[in-house]
Amino acid sequence: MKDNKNIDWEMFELLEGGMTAEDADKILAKINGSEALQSEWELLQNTKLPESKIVYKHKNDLLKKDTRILAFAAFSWTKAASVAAAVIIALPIGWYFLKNKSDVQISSTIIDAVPSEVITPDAMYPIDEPTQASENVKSLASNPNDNVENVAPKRSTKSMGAVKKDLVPHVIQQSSSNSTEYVSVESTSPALHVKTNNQPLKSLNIVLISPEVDYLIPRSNQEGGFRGIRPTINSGLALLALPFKGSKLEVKPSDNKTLRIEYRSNQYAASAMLSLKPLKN
Amino acid sequence: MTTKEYNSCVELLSDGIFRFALKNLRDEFEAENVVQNTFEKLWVRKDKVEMKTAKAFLFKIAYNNCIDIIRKRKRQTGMDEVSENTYSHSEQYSDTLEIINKAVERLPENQKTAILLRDYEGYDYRSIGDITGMTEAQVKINIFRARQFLKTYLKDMQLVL
Repeated sequence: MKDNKNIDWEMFELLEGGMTAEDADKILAKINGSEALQSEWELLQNTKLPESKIVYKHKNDLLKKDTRILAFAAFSWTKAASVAAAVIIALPIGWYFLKNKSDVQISSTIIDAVPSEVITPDAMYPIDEPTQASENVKSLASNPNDNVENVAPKRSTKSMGAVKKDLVPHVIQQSSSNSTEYVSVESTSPALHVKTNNQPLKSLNIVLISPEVDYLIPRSNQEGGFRGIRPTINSGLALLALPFKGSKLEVKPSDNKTLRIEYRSNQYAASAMLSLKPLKN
Repeated sequence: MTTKEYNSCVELLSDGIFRFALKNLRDEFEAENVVQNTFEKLWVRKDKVEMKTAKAFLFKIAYNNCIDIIRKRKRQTGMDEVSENTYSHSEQYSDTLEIINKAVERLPENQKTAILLRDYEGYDYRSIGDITGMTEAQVKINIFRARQFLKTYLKDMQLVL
């Protein structure tokens, strides 16, 4: 049995060409000396797979043309089309923004129309020259969570109409040689008001505090109760708010009847107090 | 590899890849898909594949494709691999070539792959090992077993005929 296995292996080696010439002669002599081995050797030689004519029919589908030509063709059509589409879309948008931006500058003379009562100049004072009022504000700011629980239930789901009547704006102004900014709340059209370079007051109805206080002042799950003002503007109109870029407008509970609105940027700080009318359940 | 070299690979090797896939899978449609996938991968990586290694690259990709398909089939049918000793003699064969082809179909996958690459493509044991992930010794023993199986099959068929 072992001899059979050995001869099988030797014949396999002979067939595969893995033998030296000397060993090959020996095994061939052995095979020739036995009819049984000759038959086995003949069969083993037939195990060499014969050449078969198998042709892949779709060869032409695999062939490629020069890639540079293809790349150029792709560029000329798709790229050109996409660039054209981008220009068509971008032009009116750009025009719209430019128009809006120039409106802000050109209409500065119209700003006189903004009701002066929305600002309480008496309440203004430089933040870098502390007064009793600013100290009060600072002390409020240091304890923003005071009476959060008292304030939270008073967030109104009803119209802001009732609340607006009780708004008592107090504005803190940082002195600046170039510009002056105010934050205030007016009864009819709450807005952020800007005055620049001693130009007439500019009203930007973009960062709204009301009329939907419940919508604009979302209740946060975090400690602190009310925080932030949800922007109601779209990103395109936000261009108009460039003077406030990087600034932070926050609403903090002050006491159980008042919310304090703070606006801070690198240069300016302002705040306004909003008195809330308790809800009638 | 340039586009011209890629195209010459298609001309020279697509028949061999197709034959290898067809013998392994016994399904013309799937074998054609294997050829298409294989050359698609070569085209995608043509910048990284050199002409001299393209043949081995192609057969390796084709082999892996075939293995994936065979495994998928096995999962679907739940059938065990056909043992090298289990074959029937119910078919009628006209000549040795046909008998050999039928016998090759019955070889276990690793033996079949090894002997196909050896006899059709003329690869040495080491190259077959590179393609299939087997060692040289494993390749050699698989080819030995495949030839023993084919020899026995031929002997039995001669007795039948």
